[in-house]
Amino acid sequence: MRRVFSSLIVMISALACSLSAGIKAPIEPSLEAALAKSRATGRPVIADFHALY
Amino acid sequence: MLYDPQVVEFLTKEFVFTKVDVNADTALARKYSVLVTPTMIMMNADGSEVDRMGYYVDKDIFLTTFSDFKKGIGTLASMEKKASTSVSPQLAYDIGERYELRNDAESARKWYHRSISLLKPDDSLAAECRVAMADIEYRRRNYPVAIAAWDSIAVSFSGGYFEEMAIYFRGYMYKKLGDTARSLGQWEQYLLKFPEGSMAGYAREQKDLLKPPEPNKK
Repeated sequence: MRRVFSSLIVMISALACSLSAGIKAPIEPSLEAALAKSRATGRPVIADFHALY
Repeated sequence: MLYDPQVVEFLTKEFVFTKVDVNADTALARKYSVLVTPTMIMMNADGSEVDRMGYYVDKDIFLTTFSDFKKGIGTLASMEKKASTSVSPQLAYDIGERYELRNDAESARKWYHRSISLLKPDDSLAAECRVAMADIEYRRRNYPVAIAAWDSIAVSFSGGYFEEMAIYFRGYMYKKLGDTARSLGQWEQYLLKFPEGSMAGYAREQKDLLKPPEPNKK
């Protein structure tokens, strides 16, 4: 019932923050920059699509 | 979770990491059909998607999932390949869920229906599939359709957890539709049937908010 609880969380609190809030790993400034770095290093990209309320 | 040194090392050594604010960059959010936040999308260097993970997850699931994705394990493509030879109800459900997360409602529904077709009607996974399809309608703000789906779930799984959720969600969606009387009715029904339910506190709160004030007695 992960979906139900996730929906409940959204409904009740309307507080969704980034999974990566406060991350200390290097963060590329944009997806474009991340893809360029990916081409250079051969490492795939992980993009965290988040919302700030 | 991502303060965790193991996660930081994992992201630094294995991937290139970036963040996209879906409210600021709506074009990118639309391009990648982001349904929920947070959604973590693994991409190739050309921007093509490998796969994604949504909702909040713990560290171990995060590490395992993206390690697997990197090896081509557990991706939507690999699951569909497996399903082309043999499909279990759980696999069909998982594929449906993955499509749902990609905001591809049509494909998601197709796989949920396939899962249901392989299950007994009273199987809890069949209920999960039906919940998932109600959820699709809810997210698309098709509230009347979602309410009808929850009605059907409540009848099929009467007296249990799924009925509890059905009443709760109907109360919420009637409120969204501006139908205060029906919404209030759902909260009252919830409290009558599930006075100790997990959402009883919230139901009580909603009931108090929606209930018309009693006339002053002299």
